[in-house]
Amino acid sequence: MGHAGEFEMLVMLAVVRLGSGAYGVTVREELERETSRTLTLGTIYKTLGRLEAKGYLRSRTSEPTAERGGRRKKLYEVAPAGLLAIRRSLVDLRRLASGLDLKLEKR
Amino acid sequence: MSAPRTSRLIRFLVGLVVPRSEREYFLGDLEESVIREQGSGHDAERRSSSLRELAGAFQLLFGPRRKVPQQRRRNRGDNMLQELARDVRFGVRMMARSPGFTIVALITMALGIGANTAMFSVVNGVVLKPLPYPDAERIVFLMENNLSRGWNSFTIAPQTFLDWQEQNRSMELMAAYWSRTVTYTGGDRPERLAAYQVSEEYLEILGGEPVLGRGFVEEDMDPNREGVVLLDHGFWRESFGGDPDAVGRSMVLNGVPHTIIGVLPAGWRHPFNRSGMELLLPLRPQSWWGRQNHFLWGIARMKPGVTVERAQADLSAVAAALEAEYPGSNTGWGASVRSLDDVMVGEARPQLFILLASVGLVLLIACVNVAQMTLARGSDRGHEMAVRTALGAGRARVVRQLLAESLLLSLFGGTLGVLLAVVCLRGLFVGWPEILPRMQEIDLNGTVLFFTAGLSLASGLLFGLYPALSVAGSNLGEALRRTGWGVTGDSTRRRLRAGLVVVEVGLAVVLLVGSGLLIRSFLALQNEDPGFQAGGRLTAYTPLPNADYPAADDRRAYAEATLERIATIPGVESVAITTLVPVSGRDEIWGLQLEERPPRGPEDAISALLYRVSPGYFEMLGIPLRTGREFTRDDREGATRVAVVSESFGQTHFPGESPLGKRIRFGGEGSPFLEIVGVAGNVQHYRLGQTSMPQVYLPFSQRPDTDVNFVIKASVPPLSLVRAIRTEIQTVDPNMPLEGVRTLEQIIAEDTSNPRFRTMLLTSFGLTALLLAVVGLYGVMSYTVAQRSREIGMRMALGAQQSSILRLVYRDGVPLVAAGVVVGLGGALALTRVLQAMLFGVGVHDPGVFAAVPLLLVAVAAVAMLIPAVRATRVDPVKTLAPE
Repeated sequence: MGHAGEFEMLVMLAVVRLGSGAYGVTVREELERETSRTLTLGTIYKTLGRLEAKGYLRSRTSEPTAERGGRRKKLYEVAPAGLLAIRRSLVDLRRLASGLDLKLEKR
Repeated sequence: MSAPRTSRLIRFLVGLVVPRSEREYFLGDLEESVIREQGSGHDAERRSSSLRELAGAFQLLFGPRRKVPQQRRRNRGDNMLQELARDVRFGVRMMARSPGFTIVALITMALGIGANTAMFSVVNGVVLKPLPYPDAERIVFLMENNLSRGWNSFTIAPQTFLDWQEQNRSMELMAAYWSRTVTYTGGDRPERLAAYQVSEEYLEILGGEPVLGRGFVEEDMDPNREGVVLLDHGFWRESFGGDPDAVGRSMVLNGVPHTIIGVLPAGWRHPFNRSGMELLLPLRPQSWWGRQNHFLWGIARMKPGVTVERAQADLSAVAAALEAEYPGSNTGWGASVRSLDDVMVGEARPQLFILLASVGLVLLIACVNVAQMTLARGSDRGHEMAVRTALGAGRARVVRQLLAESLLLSLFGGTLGVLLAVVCLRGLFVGWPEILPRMQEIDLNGTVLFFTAGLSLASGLLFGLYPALSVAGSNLGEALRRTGWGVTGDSTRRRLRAGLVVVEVGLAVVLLVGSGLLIRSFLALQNEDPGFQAGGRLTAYTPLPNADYPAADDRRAYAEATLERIATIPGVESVAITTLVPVSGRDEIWGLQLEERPPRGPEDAISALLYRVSPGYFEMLGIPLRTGREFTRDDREGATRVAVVSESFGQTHFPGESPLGKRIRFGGEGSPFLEIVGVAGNVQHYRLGQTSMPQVYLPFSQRPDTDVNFVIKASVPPLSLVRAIRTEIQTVDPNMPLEGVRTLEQIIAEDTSNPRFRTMLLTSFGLTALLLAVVGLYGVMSYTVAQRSREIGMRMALGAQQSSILRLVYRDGVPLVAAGVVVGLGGALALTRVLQAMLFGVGVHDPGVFAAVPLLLVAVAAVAMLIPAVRATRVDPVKTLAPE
């Protein structure tokens, strides 16, 4: 069973949060807002593509909209395997981090 | 703000890096996020922010490949793409590490590839792209000719055309047309519109299917029906706001109402129409049509499978039959058939290919230059490569690494070059009148980008392959051992680099000689005396509509009234009327007879350019009178009919005697004889540097015409008078628009714009070549000096003078330049012949140019060598001789 890297986790979580409106632009906005990173579309595309190839995400194509010059969007949602991977990572994280609050405080 | 569009550049770049399957989504996201970020910001901002996004997208291509679990390779080294990506990434790092080298190499390649891209866009648009007409290869252009009189092409007489149409067997369709201007009243003020009168088949041959309404049908050609007109798409948009209801409305043209029956498709143009056309009118047969009034042009579509040669033979046979049938009118008249392609671009083709070849030489020099620099760096990196090889890198691996770096350079250079080409092409459209046929079809399209991409790859291989092989092939042990105590570097490589400098200098000499010849030719053209004075003179054209000025008296009255009024405008020194303005492109040729030598047959026919001018014309234009007098107010209707002839007319027809008092006549038996009262200097009628046929001048008032041109000499800037002139003319005739308002200087400048264009282009190629060659020479010399710094230091320590150090450096460089100059002059002697057709007043082996170019090159090279030479004298012996 595969697993997801940290950034992949963040991307998948963003996709979950966005519900039915997750595509390149919104995923990037969500991540930039919530994690105060600066990201390029290229990075987002690369990661979304990889997650899809791993079977963690699925995609479908939307109707074209005028705002984007009549081009269609590629909308993503999390696949069951992805949900499983997120759950497992979160469980691992929580387990490993439990009781470390003091040690993780800034000295 | 309208919906913003992603620019073509961005779309092109995205196409390079984003897989096709993702492209649409990516472009959409790109556009959307840029709009969100910038709002309705500036174009430039939007573009820069798109470019920033794209920089991120490059990771899609160059970043680590997607790792998909089931595809994971056992040995990462086996993955070609990964290795390529690593080579590229390493190449980028190497480029960043030596920014000086990278910048110079990039600029060099951008110049070379950019100039080639721009030039190829022009060649592609003008020559290579198929003509924008259906079955264009079957379309031919028809004219009459009269070879016995030296006329290779002449307009066609209407009856003759109708006979061709009926009797030929090679054409599917044949159409006749002629161009004229008509006065349109009903707009804000009277306007002159350019119109073509065309026969029924014309639009079908040229594929001009109207987008609105209908084309011409048989009934439209009936002279007894009401007038109809087709509108050019651009004119319809401008004057009718693109209103579809315009069709069916009426337009008053030359005082007669015409029904608008349709609108031509956007972008459709008549093949040779450079200035644009507004209307198409049906060519309706007239009672006066005959076999001797030549004014039509013909265009035809050959039957499938018929060649131009066969069509020519067919029409020649028809013309011969007509000669036999109508000897009085058709003797000597033949038919000329030329392919549309030949007529449209036949003249431009050789010029453009010469320019393309020249700019190719510039790219060759650029490649040689970058190869030089790569070689120089290769020597420095020989050690690095040897270490790599020692650590187990195969030779192929090292060559590939070096090649990847070269290709990277050439591709980046090519991308910059495309941007440069865009700028150049924009300059071409802004700065120049229509100097080439099909200029509106020139653009930087997919074909051009494909060409550029190929060119970039080829250049990268050209300048990268040899250095890569030579570096990778060098002896491992020797390279490792050679840590710097060697004196002058590897001798084979040094010879190679010297050879490259010779090649560069030689190519630059060839290009400079070519541009030198064009410059001299252009200067000769500038100094050419047109036979009249152009400065401070203005011309304006008011063709009189036949409907308003049917009789000679009407035309005479118009001329007298307008001349009188214009002369009173403050700032007008003098004004005259002429039916022809020299160099403006129009002509009027009449056959004539000499009283003392009546023609015995058609072979005795003589002809001349016929001008009709008002008194004062010669003085005002500064045309000298060699003998006799010019016209006065007394040369009026009813007085003795008189003429002034040009010197060349006198020399041709009255050799050795004075033409004064001789009598000539235009039109055959029954026409009155005219007495020659003056001889004027020759005027260059067609274009500067082209001898024109002899000229005859008649007083306008003795033979008035509808082609009225005013020539005005002003004591103020001439164009400031235009409004006053228009007012005065419209006081005489309120429906008379003013057209063709230009100064004579403008007319001459336009006439020389084509030579100016090619001279400027070839000169800029020549100078670029010189610059690149000099940079190359400088690079080689600097490198040699750096390599020999130990030797120089030692010599100085042993007491060598500065002058002997300078001599040492020059002894290295001067033979290279000398050899290059000799090679280049040899090449130039062989190659400049191709320029023959473009030269005027200078031979292809002009000694001045062949002497000046070597001097220029030697002078510039001396300066280029001076810098490294002086640097050599500053070598500090202590530093260079200190142990490592």
